[in-house]
Amino acid sequence: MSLLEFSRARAAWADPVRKLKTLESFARTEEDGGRDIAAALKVVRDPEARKHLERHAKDEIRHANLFRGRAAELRAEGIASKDTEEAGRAYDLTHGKLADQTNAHGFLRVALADEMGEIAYIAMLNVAEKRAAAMFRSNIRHLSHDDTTRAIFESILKDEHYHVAWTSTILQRWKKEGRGAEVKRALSLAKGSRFFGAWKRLGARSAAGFSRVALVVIYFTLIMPFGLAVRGRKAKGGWTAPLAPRADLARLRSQYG
Amino acid sequence: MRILGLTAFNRDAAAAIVDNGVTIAAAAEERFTRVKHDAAFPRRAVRFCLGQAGISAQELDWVVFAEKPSKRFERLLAEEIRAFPKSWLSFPRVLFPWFGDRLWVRGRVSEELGVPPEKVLFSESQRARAANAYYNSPFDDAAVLVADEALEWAATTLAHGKGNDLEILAEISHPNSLGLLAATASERLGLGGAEGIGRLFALAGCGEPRFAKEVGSVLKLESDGSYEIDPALLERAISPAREPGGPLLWTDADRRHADLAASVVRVLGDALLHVARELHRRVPVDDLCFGGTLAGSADLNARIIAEGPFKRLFVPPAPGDAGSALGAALAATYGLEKPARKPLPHAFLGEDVLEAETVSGQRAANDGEIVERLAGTLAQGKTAGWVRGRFEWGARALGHRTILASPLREGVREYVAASVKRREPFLPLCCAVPAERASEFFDVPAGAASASRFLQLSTAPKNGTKSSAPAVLHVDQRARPHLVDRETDPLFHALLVRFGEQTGVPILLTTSLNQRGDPIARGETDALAVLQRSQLDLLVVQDRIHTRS
Repeated sequence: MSLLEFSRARAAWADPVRKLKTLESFARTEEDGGRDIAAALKVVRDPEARKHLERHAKDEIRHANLFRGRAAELRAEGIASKDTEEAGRAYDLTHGKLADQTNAHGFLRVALADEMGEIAYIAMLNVAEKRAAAMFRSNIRHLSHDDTTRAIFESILKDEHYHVAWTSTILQRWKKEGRGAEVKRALSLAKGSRFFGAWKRLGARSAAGFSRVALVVIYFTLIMPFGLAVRGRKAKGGWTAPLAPRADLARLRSQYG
Repeated sequence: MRILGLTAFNRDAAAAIVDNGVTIAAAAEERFTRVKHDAAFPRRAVRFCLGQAGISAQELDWVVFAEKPSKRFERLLAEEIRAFPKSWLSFPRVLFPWFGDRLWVRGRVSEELGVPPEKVLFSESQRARAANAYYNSPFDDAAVLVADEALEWAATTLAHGKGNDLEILAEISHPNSLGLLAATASERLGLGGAEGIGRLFALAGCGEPRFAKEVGSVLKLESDGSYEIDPALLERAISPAREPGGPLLWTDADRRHADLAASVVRVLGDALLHVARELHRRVPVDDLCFGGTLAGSADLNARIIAEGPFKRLFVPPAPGDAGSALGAALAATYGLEKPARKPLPHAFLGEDVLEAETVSGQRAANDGEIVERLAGTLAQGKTAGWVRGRFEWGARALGHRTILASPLREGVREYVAASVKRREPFLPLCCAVPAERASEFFDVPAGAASASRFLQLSTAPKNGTKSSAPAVLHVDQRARPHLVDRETDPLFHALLVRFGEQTGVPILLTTSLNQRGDPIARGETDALAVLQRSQLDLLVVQDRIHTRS
């Protein structure tokens, strides 16, 4: 784990609002993963892999419920996300799934396994689970002040070890069965795609940071004269007439009036 | 004409679909994502609505977003400029999301749904709330009041609905917002800001308004029926602020926080009555439709009907943010065409029961067996969950995703709060009673039957009720009755009648099927999770009966 990731994790778990958002984000990721794995069952042929996938899918849904339950407890204590206005923005890469991939219930129509093939899919799971196990181990270190959340991570970490073990076993078996080159290529691709995803996330977050700095600069240059001009002025009270008393097509088309 | 309404990015994102004035489906995104008050773009709710209508997005005539984004951006920018230079930290935080895609909502909606941009329309949020309140009501000539936080500029709106026409008459603009006042009070009391307004109302029921004078100093009632607010004074009145998760003072030892909440609600009620009198002066009719976040308070609604100038009151099942999705669709429907008015007959507009994949529980032979089993269990003093049909639109459980308990002995409320819901005991439970027998047990005002059908009114129980069903009384000695019609919900009505035959009192305690911090259950899986995590004795899902064992 890099120093940057270590600092981010420490900051995320120390701040109640960020903790809430992180737990909810983990819940969504686990739930989406669980649904995807359940959908993969329709495609993966290997009987041993299918047996593990079935348990794996249930684990992911259970993890989602654990994260969501803890987030719900925090919300019930009055901790609320302050920046709900940021929710659902298009460049939020955690919501990067294409809309037409889900059905009316939000389930995946097309399993990732369908697109990737059996070996590539299990390799992707193996890489993702190793990464998740490392991340959860790190999170446990930052949660010494929160026994409840730490216990959830400890319980999930046991499952992650199982997920890493079964995917590794299956990949090893396929190697022995003469599919070594395919397995090697799939693992490389999985690692590469994770790197590319991390690169894109870094790009998006850097852009967000630069934009915020630019907005502060705008505040003290373009906004300042207007701010000084209206300083101390009170907002107008009392009744005002609406811009449009009735809804008509021209008004409804406008984003403003 | 098929119109999809949607709301997002504030709180309680939701979608609703209306076909020639008839509401086909409506649901909040939180029911699908299981994130309380989910504000994200309501993809899953939209897909459910389209699925329920049996059409694709391309077959929609219009899509209406319940907000004018540019106008809201203008308001936020003006607010930041006015607060210069103190706003230098909030400026990038507040405005940054707008440069992502919030200013270009038309493109976002078009991209998400795959509809041409010219099919995307925008309704002011207050107009959407007013339309939600009026077009769903049974009234043909009504005054319409909306009180909320301000999304664009308007915070309090007066309107007149007549036939299928809705005219906005006057508005009071931000920062003079009663919704903002409630949200600020909720924030100061550590209840979660705007998301905690419901808890603020509940907490108020446990206190006395002994700080009404101090809190009232923030509000100046003007002779023209308007008001002005100085939120800075409220920060002084509620000081020191309570940290979220810190001790909440609401019991006999120290009721300071409950008393402050009661004082805020008293002041809000005074302001709403002041505005309602001005509305009645402008629209001298008997009927009032009330919308906006503040209409979610059963106590404020009771005060408006008891002390205000109107004789009849209607509050829609989802009067606040989520409801504006339906309101936007209705505003466009009646703004663009003039179909005949069709009042909302019931609130069961959500998704049908999703059954769990793992088959368990025993199957009941028919509805009669379900009613008998539930009535018998409840008459023994046990608790039950009931899941059937489409889930309710709005935050109230009206019998389709509901926890039920007998109100015949004291202590049941505390048991349900602690062992089933696992939530604070000051949050009220409601009760269900057959509509035709409500007057035997409660003092329901003659003009409030419509509001009580959607559980939007608190009322005083009759003396006999206090002894025969003591658990219906909340700490404030009031009850929140849900009047159940035989016509709109025959099965729930039958259960109440059967329970009455067994115990002599046809009343059941009701509360939503969820636990602390969770959205109300969507399908069987969520309901089974509540059964597993709580002391619920019985769970009935459609015709499947699950027991704790």
